[in-house]
Amino acid sequence: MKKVHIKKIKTLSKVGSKPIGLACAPSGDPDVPPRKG
Amino acid sequence: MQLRRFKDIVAIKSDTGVILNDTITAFHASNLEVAEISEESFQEMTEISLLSGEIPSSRDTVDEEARLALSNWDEEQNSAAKSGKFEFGVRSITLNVNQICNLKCVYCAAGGDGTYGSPANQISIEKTLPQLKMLLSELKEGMKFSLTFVGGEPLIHPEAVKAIYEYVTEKCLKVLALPNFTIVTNGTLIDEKTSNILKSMKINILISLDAVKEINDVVRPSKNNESSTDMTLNGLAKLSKDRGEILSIGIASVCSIDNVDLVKNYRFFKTLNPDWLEFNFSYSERSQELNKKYIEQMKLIAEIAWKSGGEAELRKIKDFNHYFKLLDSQQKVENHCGAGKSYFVIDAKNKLYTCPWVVGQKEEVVGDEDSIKIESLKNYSKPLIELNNCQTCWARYLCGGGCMYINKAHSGSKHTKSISFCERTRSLIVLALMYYKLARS
Repeated sequence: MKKVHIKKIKTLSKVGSKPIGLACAPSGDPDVPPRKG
Repeated sequence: MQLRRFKDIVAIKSDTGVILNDTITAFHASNLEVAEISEESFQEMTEISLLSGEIPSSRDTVDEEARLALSNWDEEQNSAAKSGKFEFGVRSITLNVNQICNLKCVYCAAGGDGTYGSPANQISIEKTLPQLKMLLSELKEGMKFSLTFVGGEPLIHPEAVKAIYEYVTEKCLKVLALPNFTIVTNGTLIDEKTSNILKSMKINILISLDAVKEINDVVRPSKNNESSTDMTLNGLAKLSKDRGEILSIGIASVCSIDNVDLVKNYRFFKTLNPDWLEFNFSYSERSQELNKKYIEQMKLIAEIAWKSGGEAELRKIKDFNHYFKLLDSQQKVENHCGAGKSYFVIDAKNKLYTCPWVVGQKEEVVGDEDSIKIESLKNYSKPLIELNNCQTCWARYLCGGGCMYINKAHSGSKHTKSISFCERTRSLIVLALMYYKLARS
């Protein structure tokens, strides 16, 4: 049998679940710069 | 940990910790795909370090089948991966409510004392509301808009925060845009009155607290010589009881040469039960040794978080949540931030800038209370990945090209990369990829 060399991981959106974690991550938005100190 | 690369694919093999297992994590940079790959495929790849963003030369083929699998994957195009390019439009503003502070943190990027070199009392509401009206004029139904209140210390003037909050909420409601508010505060001034004002708003509160008391009082001293840690913890206690409308409470810490035990800090922060945590790195810090220590400790923190609560606990740490979100939504990031494109800063004198860390620098002013100087923004129009020459880096679509301010602080040029920033960012992305595979497998 041929060996599977690449096994892709399904993203959450593809398996249709709801995201786990924070409902709001205010500075996780790319428009908002991360704080650097 | 071993890191290898083949064209646009990077692979990680962990040899220690909770993510020690027989499987190898791989990531297709432009497709935002995570995969498990075979040992044979890993052997076909070239060793790289976290310092490198270049595509290494390929090794001689040993296993043709494994090499072909890698090549085929590399050439695939994932139509689900969304572009991170966006057009000019104000979507996010940080506002300096004032430029005075009751603390004098040793690493303070705002001129060393929260003033940006030019103290200013409360921002003029009379000037700010029309300025916001002008900046928000393009907002439309369904668009998100973020407003972050900073200082100095914004809670020296809580009524100003509330007045601006109410105005922006009303403006957004009128056009059915979606506002999101955050306040960054040291938490030391949260008394009954301030607490009630905060609890009356739908706002995220980010408390700046760096470490356990013996360190925090040294790196974040107050101007009246009281323990800033005690003051912040009192404020947090007031907020935590009956939280009203408050959306979330986060803690943001800064790693610096005087504050290096991040694992100890993490355990301390957990006792305060925040909704989320940020582990930032002092913008001016140049120590390679500290950079390595930060990387090692973030690995340990991720492991502690994962062991104690899996994905939910890991995602309470802002960076990990951010990378998980991008991978789940298949959203590429082509700008580390929206500076000069979608993101602006209003200082306490109503001058407009592209970044909080250039406030007070005359050459960086891009507008005032009446207008945006569009011509001064033309240098910001290209994606940061392009401006900062990150096209070959495997982490580019999760990082978005790095921070222009950190680049400038380290190299003198906004577009000459800070290598220590790149190393740190890649290390966090590597961790995120490994835990993402673990979480989704």
